[in-house]
Amino acid sequence: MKPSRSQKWLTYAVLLLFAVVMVTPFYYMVITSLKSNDEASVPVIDLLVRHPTTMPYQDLLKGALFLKSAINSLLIALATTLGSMILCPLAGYAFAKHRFPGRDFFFISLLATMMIPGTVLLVPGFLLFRDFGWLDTWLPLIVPGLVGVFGVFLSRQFIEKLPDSLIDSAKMDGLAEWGIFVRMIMPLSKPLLATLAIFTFLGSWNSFLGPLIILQDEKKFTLPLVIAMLQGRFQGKENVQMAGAVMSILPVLIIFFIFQRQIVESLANTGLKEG
Amino acid sequence: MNAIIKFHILKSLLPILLLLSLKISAQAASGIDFWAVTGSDDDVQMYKHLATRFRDKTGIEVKITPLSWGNFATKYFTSMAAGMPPDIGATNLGGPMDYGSVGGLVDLNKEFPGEIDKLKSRIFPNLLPICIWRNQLFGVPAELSTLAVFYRTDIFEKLGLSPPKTWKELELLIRRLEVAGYHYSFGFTSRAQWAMAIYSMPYNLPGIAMTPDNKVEVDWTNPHYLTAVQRALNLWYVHDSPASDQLNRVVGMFRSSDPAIGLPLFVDQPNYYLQLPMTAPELKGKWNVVPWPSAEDGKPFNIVGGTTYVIFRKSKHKREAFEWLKYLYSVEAQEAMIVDRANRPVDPSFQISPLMDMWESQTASFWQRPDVANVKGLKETLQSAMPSLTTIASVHGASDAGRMEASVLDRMGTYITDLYSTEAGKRGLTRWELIRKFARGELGDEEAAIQSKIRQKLSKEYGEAQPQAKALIEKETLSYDARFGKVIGDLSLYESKGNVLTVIKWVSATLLLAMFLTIASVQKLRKHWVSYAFIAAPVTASVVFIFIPAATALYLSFTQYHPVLPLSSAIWTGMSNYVEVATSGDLYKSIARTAIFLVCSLPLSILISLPLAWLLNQQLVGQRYWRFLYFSPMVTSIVSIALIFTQLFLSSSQGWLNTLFMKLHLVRDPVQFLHSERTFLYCVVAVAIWQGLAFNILIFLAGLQQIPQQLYEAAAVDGASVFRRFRSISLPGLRAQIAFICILGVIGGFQVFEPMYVLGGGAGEAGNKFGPNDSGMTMVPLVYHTGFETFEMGKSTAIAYILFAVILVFSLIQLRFFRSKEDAR
Repeated sequence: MKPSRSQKWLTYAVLLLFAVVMVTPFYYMVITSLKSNDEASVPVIDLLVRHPTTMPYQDLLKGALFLKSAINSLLIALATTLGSMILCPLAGYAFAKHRFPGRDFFFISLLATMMIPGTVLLVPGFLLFRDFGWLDTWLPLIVPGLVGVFGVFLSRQFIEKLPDSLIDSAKMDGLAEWGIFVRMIMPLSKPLLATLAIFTFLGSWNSFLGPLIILQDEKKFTLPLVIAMLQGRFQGKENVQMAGAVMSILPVLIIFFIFQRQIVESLANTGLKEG
Repeated sequence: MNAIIKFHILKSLLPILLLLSLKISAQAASGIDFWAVTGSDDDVQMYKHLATRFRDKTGIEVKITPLSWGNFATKYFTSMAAGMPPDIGATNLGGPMDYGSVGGLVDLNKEFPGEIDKLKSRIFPNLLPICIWRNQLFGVPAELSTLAVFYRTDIFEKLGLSPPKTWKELELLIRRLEVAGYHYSFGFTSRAQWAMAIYSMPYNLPGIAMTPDNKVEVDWTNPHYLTAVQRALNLWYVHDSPASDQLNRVVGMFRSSDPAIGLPLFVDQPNYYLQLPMTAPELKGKWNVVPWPSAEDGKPFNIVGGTTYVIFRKSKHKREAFEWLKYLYSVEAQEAMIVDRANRPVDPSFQISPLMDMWESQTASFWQRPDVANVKGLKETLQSAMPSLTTIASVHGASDAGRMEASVLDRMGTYITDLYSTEAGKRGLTRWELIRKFARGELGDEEAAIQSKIRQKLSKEYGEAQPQAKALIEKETLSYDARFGKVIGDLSLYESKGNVLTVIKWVSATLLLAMFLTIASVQKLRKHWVSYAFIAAPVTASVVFIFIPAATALYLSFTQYHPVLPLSSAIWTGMSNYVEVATSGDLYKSIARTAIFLVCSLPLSILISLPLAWLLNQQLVGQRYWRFLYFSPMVTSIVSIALIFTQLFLSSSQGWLNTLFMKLHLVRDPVQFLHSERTFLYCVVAVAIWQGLAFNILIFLAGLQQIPQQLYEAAAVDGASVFRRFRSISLPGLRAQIAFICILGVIGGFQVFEPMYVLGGGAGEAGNKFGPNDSGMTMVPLVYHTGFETFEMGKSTAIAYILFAVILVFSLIQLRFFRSKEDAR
């Protein structure tokens, strides 16, 4: 049965109202980023840009630090993401479809580590990386993220749902485990991979505290560090600060827009059903 | 198993193996590393320029790294803890004591005798005490800023005012400006703490001091001190000095068409004055400057802010670093820096040199520069103030006590704002209208009553805080030798000693190896080797990156340890950290705040997101775009979000939210969103809900899509209303999702950190980093604070483990709760 006309209007009205709430901060960010220094410092609130300019962006990109850090963040995030898109499903597959002694022990132990707050690990993690000689390198930002426990968990939940018969028939065809994983599991797990990709990428792209403590050389800085520095570097210049925010938010928004359907789909399949 | 498969598996593990085997070679330093807390690109260019000249003279390369004022201390401390600090750095005034007292710095007196004396003889002697710690000279003042009164000659002439010479005159002046209708009649760039220090120092009342016989003096209840604080608080909270986050907007206010908004009297550091003609060119030449007013009895006093240069103990190029230091103090370099700063097209500034000879005739040309000459009498004013600039030796632990005081001031701020708001509300006025009435001398009794209430509350607050602060500082001072003295005296011994991390590392490696050998040797296990290989990566990673640090943290929680010192110097103290945490109020307060955060944010965000997800699940025109709109906050970094929201939440009428509230007549006066202890936490809740909605909607949407459409259709045929369908079909179908969000939400809520940090101003200036009166100090911020701000690693890890236990218990309770519900069905 179709909803009535008035219901429909109400739906749109409510959605629109909340959409305004959701969008306002972004709107503020975008219009401020397009204002000139003069326009941005006018004390009276102006919801429009009178004379849009790209000056804030030019100021921001001057000195190459911003772009460099964006590329750094991208490299780190891509390395982490690619690694986890292979390693997490691999482990997830073993946990979901293999039977071997100690499977549940290992799986539950892994899950238990999720309970440990990141803060507990912050200081000793720092000491560990110091011991490894990994400080002021990207390794501490990449390697631990390659096999996030959450990713393994998601993978197991997703792959568990794939029918056993497929794997059995693949075995009949003479495929070995690695072959099954590459030719059967991976192609069937596209929504999972999309989810893993976006979660890992986001986690890495947006992480702040880790890089803050690990990195020292400015040339190795990641984007959030540089964004946080904008407050000092461009003190009182909200337009430049907001231009920085736009530049950090835009790429992920685009990626998210492309993968949106797969993510919703795969989350629906992660086994949340049985709680 | 055939070889090809093995090869493939090996190949899949290759990236990890490669990374693990990577040897990180130490940077081959060909010159010296110089870190400078500035954060401005122009400063970097300036230093680079100087470095080139320096290289041409000496052949020494200088590599310059700028640090921001937001996190320079973290950077310096972590670099020292990492054992790879720069050679030389520019840091804040407290830096020499902070880093030197934990063994991070070179004692310049000892390392460069003779040469340093020559340098010291050129520096204003009153400036040195802050660099001295237990007779060691850990740094030298680099650049200074002080306070002066800048005023607009046009307004002063119009109103027939003359510049203030004493505090009393300053207060009267502000009242007259208020009567004349000028809002924001003065400004500080910093917060109330600064104002307070300025007022209290002429009587040599720093609040906290060390007596000559090394006893700690906390003199907060001294009536002079209380008067000073009350004055400062009044300036700040009654007369509405614009907050630091609005400073630049205030400077821009000269362009306001509203004549009531002006900044005729500008009480500030001279480094900001050059910005005035830039942001308000129409006022060029209408500025004058006088020194900071003196106390009633004529005692002049000027407070100083600035930076210092320090040389690090771990530096391998101390000699070269010192040569660079000497070059920075050469007249040539000093003049180049001053001129460079003043000449910048954007953000010009004026920094005061700590060198006496910089005021001599050789730099006279500088003072004739048009933009400097634009303000009348600047050189004379500053020069007359220089001899009274004083720094006071730092007290170990004073920063913790200072934090305590900052909390008192935060509470006072809320109290004062409330008193004025209530009084104004009684008469149907805004606060500003009431203040103008007071300024005109109307309602004198009421004003006196309010001021006396403020005084009472102030005495009470300080009376309670004083013994605590004293005990705290005494404890830190007394334990200094046990904690640091012994270790610093024998650093190389401790550095070569084995430590707990080594032990845990070996145990873990043995464990992994044993696991591998067992699998390889036991036939029953070996046939599953592919499975084990598949899970090898996460298991190994968990052991290395989670188990080892977690075990180390557990050990540390039973010790006393400062992260700058070698790990082997951790002192075993048994349960004392846990006992101390459990008996101090901080933990319970932070748990209470966390509870408030959770109770406000979680149910509300579920209540809002559920119907929205339901609506988004309907057939909509442009569904993809609607959903995208609602999902977008999820992928946005909290750092950027916080940057945006600090603007939206501005306390003045500049903030969008305040403007909206005032337009809707919800409030009479602007709400002090992020500046009041009462509202701060709820602002963070709002931001958390705003960002968290997306994830909830996503999960609910995924759940809704699993509910068969036929159920709805059948219900619709039966005549069930929309609401009924939502309640009887959608809601039960989402049980699992609600449970999931609750569990994740509780875990996430317990661990909230970034929004507290960024909205609380942690990324900005010093002071209370997690909101006014620490109102945003939930559990993880408390862990961070004890670990990375007061550097009590042991206590910090103990709190972290308590937090872990709390999360565990809550998760178990929740699991049980949702389980039993499921069973009941």
